[in-house]
Amino acid sequence: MSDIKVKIGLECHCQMTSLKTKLFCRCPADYRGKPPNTNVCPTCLGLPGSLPYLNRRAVEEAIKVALALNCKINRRMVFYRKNYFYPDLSKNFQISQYDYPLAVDGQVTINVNGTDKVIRIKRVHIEEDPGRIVYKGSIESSPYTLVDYNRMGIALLEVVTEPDMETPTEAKAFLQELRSILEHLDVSDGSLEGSMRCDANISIEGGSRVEIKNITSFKEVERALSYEIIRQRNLLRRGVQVKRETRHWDEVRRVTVALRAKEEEMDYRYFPEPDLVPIEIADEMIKKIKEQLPELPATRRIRLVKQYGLTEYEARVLTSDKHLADFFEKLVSIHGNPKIDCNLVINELLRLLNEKNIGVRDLKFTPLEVSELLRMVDEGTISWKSAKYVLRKMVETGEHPRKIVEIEGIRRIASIEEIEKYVDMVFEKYREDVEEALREPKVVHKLVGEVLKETKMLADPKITFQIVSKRIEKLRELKK
Amino acid sequence: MGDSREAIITPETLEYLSELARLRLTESEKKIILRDLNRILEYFSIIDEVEVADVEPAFHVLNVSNVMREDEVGGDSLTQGETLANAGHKEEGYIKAPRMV
Repeated sequence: MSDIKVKIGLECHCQMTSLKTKLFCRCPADYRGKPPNTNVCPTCLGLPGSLPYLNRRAVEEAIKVALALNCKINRRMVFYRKNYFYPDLSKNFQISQYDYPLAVDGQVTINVNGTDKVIRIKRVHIEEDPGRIVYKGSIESSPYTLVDYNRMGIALLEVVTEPDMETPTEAKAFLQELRSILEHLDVSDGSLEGSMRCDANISIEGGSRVEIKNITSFKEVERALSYEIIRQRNLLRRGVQVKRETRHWDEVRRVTVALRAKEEEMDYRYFPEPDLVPIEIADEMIKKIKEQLPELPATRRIRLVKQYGLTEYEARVLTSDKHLADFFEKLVSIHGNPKIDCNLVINELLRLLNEKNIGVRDLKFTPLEVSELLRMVDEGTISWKSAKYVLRKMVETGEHPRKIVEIEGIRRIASIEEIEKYVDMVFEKYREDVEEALREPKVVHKLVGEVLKETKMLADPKITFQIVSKRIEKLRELKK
Repeated sequence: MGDSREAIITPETLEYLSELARLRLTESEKKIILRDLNRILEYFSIIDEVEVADVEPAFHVLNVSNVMREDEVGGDSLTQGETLANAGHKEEGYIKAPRMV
């Protein structure tokens, strides 16, 4: 069944969050957290007599992205009106691009399970974000909708891929790479709610193309696509033709829902926006922007491997999130042990971040505090195991590691005498296990575990293992 | 203008266009608009006679390009009261709209 071919294409909408103003007016771009309908002006609302006025930096930032995605920049770009009636746009059209978009024909290399794959970029264009529709209660039960136009007019970058992805995992990998590129360029902050959204096209062999709309975060993409593949396969298995349609991803119920036929066959009647003149992009401008491009994830990976002796996998995990890679490099600059520092960041720290569903920048401590923690391990004050525990406490409370260690009485028990006392206790308590350990060496580990538990995990595991093994050895000798 | 010539806008096209434009037309309005639209488009079809193979497309009546502004916040933002002044239905600072999905 898994050899049925699946083709996935993505249409990603990324807000250019580093801009100060909207795309065509001087309203602040920072619309989040404001009371509804207070971040608008006659231009973004499309009131009569107002005129759009293009943000120069939006064009420059978009060129940065197009270059980073290896696109061909069109020397002339034109804005178009995309006409449709939907309450998320008060002027009944969206200023977007159609023919003559900003850029075409790019590519991004992704890596899934160690294998590189090129995903072609069809086009990159600039458009304005629509307003936000708020549902009363759930989407299903809401009797009407509420509209907030604060977001309307925010500069959006649309990145369209060719249908080059074959699994939901590849789609996720692409989005992660795109997000990392945008963050390295400092164009878009992917951690802001709703700053990156996408639609997905998916077709499986023998069926028509289905479009899934309303995927409101990159995290949801894998889920939505996996659901859709199962749905389409089930249809095919029952001999039902998958018809060409647009479906809506319901995040709450985690299913895709068919839209009514009327909503899907949109006729946008695009025409050149008469209120905006064409934009000619000069070679010098492109050249200048190209020269100022910062280090991108792909180059950074190569450098991390070279400079710190990391594996390619480690470098890849770090650069999947710019801020994670930044955190690591800062940590190394203070603590200076790339292997250990990387291990702590990509295994321990990343796991905690995922578990708590927060980002690196939500942490209440800096690499400096983490270097202090690792120094305690280096000094032999605490064990690696305790360090992991302290890191968790740091994430939860933001407390300084030395203080956590002090308050909780964490130390590393390495004295043989002290550990032997605990071993005595455990051997007394678990006689049957001791008997078994004489015959079955695996049980030794269980005893070691019990000793560690008795010491509240403070004893050095290696020394404890040596002591327990020696003891068992001795008992075995005596039995003979 | 004779009826013998094939109409550019058929009654079906008009039906479709009025749906896209969210206009509900009466039968008599449809008749008038159908006639007017065809007249206008026929008049425009004169343009088709011009040879344009070697002419660059014009996107704008003005021969101007690259009108852009700096990315600085400016002050003609509206208050919530002003924004909602013309809204027929509102609730808690939002505009009320029918549900669509």
